[in-house]
Amino acid sequence: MESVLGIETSCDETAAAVVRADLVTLSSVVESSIDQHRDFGGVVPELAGRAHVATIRPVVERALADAGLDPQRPGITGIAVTAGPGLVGSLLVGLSFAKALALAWDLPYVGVNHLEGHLFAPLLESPGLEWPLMTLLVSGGHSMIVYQRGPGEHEVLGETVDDAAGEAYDKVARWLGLGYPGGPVIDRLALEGSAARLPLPRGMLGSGLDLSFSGLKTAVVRATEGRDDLALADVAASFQATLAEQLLRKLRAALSHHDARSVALAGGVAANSALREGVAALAAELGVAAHLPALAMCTDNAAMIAAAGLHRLAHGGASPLTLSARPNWDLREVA
Amino acid sequence: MIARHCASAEETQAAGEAFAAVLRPGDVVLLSGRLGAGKTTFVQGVARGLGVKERVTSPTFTLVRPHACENDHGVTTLYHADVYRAGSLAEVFDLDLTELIEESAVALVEWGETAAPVFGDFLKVTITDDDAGGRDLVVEGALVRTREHALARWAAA
Repeated sequence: MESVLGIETSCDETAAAVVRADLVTLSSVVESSIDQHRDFGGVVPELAGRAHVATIRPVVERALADAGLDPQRPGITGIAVTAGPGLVGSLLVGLSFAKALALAWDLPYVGVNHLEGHLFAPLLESPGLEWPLMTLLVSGGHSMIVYQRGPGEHEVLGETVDDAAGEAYDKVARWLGLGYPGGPVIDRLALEGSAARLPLPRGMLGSGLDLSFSGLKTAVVRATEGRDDLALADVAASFQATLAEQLLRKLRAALSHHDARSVALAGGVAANSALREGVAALAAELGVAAHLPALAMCTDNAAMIAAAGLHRLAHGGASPLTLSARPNWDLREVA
Repeated sequence: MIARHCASAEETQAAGEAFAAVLRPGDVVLLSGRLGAGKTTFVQGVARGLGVKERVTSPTFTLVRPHACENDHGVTTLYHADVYRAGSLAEVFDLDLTELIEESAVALVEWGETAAPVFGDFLKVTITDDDAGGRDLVVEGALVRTREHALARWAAA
């Protein structure tokens, strides 16, 4: 059966995976600068794209070996690589590596949009999900609501006008002295706190489907400065509840205006417990199927890139070797 | 001192829009101010003033975002950078921000105080917020000398 090697280097993760045409993941390796694996010699500086250079080869070789393939002659049928959006220096490492492999092994390769990759992540766990699918894609760099009639047929219904949801988490965490990344620590703290003790403005109550988190971030700063009496857990709980409520309200509006049979969460913020519970409850209420991917599928990985690449390659989307990295590639420009 | 008061987010954006008239190709503007002060709001105004058509959102995650401009003062690209995530000057150097500033571009850098040693001459806009929701904008930096008239007009508006 056909299988594709996926490569992802758009930000601070170096990742490779092998996915079969029936969307079974044969292997998935993620080398993160947050979770520094000793196998590859330690620290991957967050901002230095050239760090990917040191890790890309061992990561790809391990993905092929984990899939039971010979790293020298893997017998795959294609290569998919993130071409954007992301950091240009980081993107170029993966893109150049993928081109070299495609040339050496005489295989078709395709440059994949990272956001389209996130949209394919739910399919890896639920290949038979029912279309149309409404996806709430929330990460450190992006926040959008996307409607899909079928794989690769996406329509962006709304997106953030300022900060991304994950970015709001990171900034609030830094303000509260909780470190980076902000999502997991705020999520954990929120479980011990009470949102009712610190009411925050809800922001962006308009009828459109665009999102905004900058006002909430500012509200947390204003409500907490000079206050020694506030429990961090209560601040975390209130921030998280307010953010999740905005996302869920917009998702509900999107579902009420579009006929969808499934709803999915994607992106790193999809690991958030309040959001997962809220989406599950909303889906149950509206009678649509909820797909809440495992944490490893929410965050950046190469299996989702391989899955999107399988689709693109099957529909004649192979890329020329002249393809450039596209740091600001808008999902709307993906045809 | 060159300063301008803004009573609301709309006024901060308007101040940014008017600030575009001060800018010349090749300029670097460092933006300073605490979380929620209104740095991105100001940049959104500058972008409008420079004729950026697309939406300008926070570039924190991608660190630098280019926006094509259409205007009659020769600026073809606005680079919007945010070095909030950069923990050190070394990491800012890794971004090669100075490489970005072509002759026909301007760069606006949020949390720019970290990046100041990387650049030559620049304008620095410091935004402070008061309890009433207002903002005070103060402009400093070596480039101020070369823009005195334009900046005075901007401050007086």
